[in-house]
Amino acid sequence: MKKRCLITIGFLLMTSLWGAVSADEQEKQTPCASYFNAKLGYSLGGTTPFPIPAEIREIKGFKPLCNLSVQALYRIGMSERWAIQPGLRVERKGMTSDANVKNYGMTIDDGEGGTVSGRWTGDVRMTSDMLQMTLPFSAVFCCSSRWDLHAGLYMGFLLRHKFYGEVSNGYLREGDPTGAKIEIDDQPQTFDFSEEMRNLQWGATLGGEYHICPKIGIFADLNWGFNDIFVKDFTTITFGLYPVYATLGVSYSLK
Amino acid sequence: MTKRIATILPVACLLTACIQEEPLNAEADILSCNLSSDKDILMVPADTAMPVTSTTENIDIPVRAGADLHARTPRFIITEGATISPASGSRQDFSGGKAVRYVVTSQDGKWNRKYHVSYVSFELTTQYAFEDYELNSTGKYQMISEVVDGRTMLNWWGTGNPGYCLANSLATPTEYPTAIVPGGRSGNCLQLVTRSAGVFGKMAGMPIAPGNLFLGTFDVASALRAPLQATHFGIPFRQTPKTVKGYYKFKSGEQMTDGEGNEISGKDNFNIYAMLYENTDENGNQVVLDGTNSNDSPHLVLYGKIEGQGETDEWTPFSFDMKAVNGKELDPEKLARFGYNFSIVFSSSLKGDIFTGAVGSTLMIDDVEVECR
Repeated sequence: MKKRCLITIGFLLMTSLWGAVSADEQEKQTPCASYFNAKLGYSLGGTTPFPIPAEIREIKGFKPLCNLSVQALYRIGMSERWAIQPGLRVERKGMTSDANVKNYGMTIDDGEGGTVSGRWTGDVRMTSDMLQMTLPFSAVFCCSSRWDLHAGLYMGFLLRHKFYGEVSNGYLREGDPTGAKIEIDDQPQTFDFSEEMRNLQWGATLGGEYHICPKIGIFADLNWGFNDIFVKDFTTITFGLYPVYATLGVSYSLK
Repeated sequence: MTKRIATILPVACLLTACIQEEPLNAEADILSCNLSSDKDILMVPADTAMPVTSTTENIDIPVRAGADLHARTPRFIITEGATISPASGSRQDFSGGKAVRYVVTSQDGKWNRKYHVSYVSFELTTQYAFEDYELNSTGKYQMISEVVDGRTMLNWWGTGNPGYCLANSLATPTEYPTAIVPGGRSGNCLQLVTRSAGVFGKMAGMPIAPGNLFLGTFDVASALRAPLQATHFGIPFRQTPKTVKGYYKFKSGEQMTDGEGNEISGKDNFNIYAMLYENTDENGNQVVLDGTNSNDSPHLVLYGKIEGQGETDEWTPFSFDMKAVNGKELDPEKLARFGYNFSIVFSSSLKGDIFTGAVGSTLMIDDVEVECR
């Protein structure tokens, strides 16, 4: 699945480069005109605590999921240099990480209410997977007819959210660090916090776009989540986790 | 592609470069006692390194009757970085059954655990009326106790209750597999009920939690990893057990299930057996029998098991004799030196050790006595 994503992006990048031949026409247009813009991208990043708490001792592995994003934006030119740009985006943000933790809040779950909570020391593999519909709103600064930069805020509604994983090779102290010590070997025990996630996320977006030709460009965005992915009364994980993803891709402008 | 790599790098750095310094340890355990300074008074001389399980709150050091306990210097192995007060190895007065309170404080200073350490020269008694219990520190389950000369012995009877606590954190003390309840022949009695261990137990390969009680200790640390190794059978004993007798009531649960939780036909039954075994091997190392080897260990000397048991709702007497096994004879000198451990094991499901039984099987036990030669 990941491979297919990369091939698609590679193909789109190539097509856009061929398009660059006719780039000269672009110079004559007003840099910040009003037009529709469609973007296809691939996001890379993580759902991460910030800063990384001391309980996390080592990050042993990291794997992004097939995080495609599709968006439609409408750029409204306000002046020669400035525009505003509302839009609608459907995107997936997901990753799997392997970490070694010490004294880390954990609830091992059976999905039927029989859970053991406490402090975990050992290996944790966790997968965070979110499919969301996002409303970005940015201010655009047009540096030249080819380059522009944008910054703004976004609001995301989660269409599907999952957060699950497993623990192994360590021990749980039930309740708190003075509780009963339960050893778990290389046969992992699972946990699932999917139900504890928020449905609404917001954050800031910052990025740039390079117009290879009037219609085709490439872009890079950074989307930084400002609220914890979990609901307020979820206390098992003692620190907030924030989605921070960079998106790279191609844009197509309807001028 | 270069751009993609250029993005991966900062993200990877963001994720890995900011690992903070390792936090100080939050645990505050006594992991084991080093009793080399007590070697001459210990009931079992090989017990100088006495492990302490994570749920232990009262540490009883078994010593010979008449030992001078005015100035002992037990040492404790504690969690790395933690501190203990009074100091490990400091001189303390344990005479007259006094318990000394030790407080272990974690390296990060945020957590502490209190332990009551005493030297006990009370020998294991041979009559059990199942009248008394204390709740564990979180008040969730009972620890079955015996009161001898006004002193409560909490460390004789072991149960799987600390393990069940993991499977059903909402249960009240009498909903645990093992409990002291009213309704005995006189006063209270022991109630063992095979409970469902929930989906959590099923995942760990133990769909049922049979009620069990045994002379020895339960080590909850291995309850999930290797449940049969969690039951450490035996208490040092210097008499020759001849017959084990007592009273029971039993009712089988409705549906039998096997170790994978699949329904199977038939009725459940209960089990009672007893053993006496050598507590050291030929090299002087400690031997502890557990659920994996209590029937066939080469260290077994005497073994006895209830026969012909079945359902009854009246108090019914039982009795079985201890027979020599492994062609071994009791060495009187070794016996006098507490060289043998004795255990009686009660279970509300006959095949509870392989997690086969019927949820709801209920065994009531009262007035058990071990007749000795």
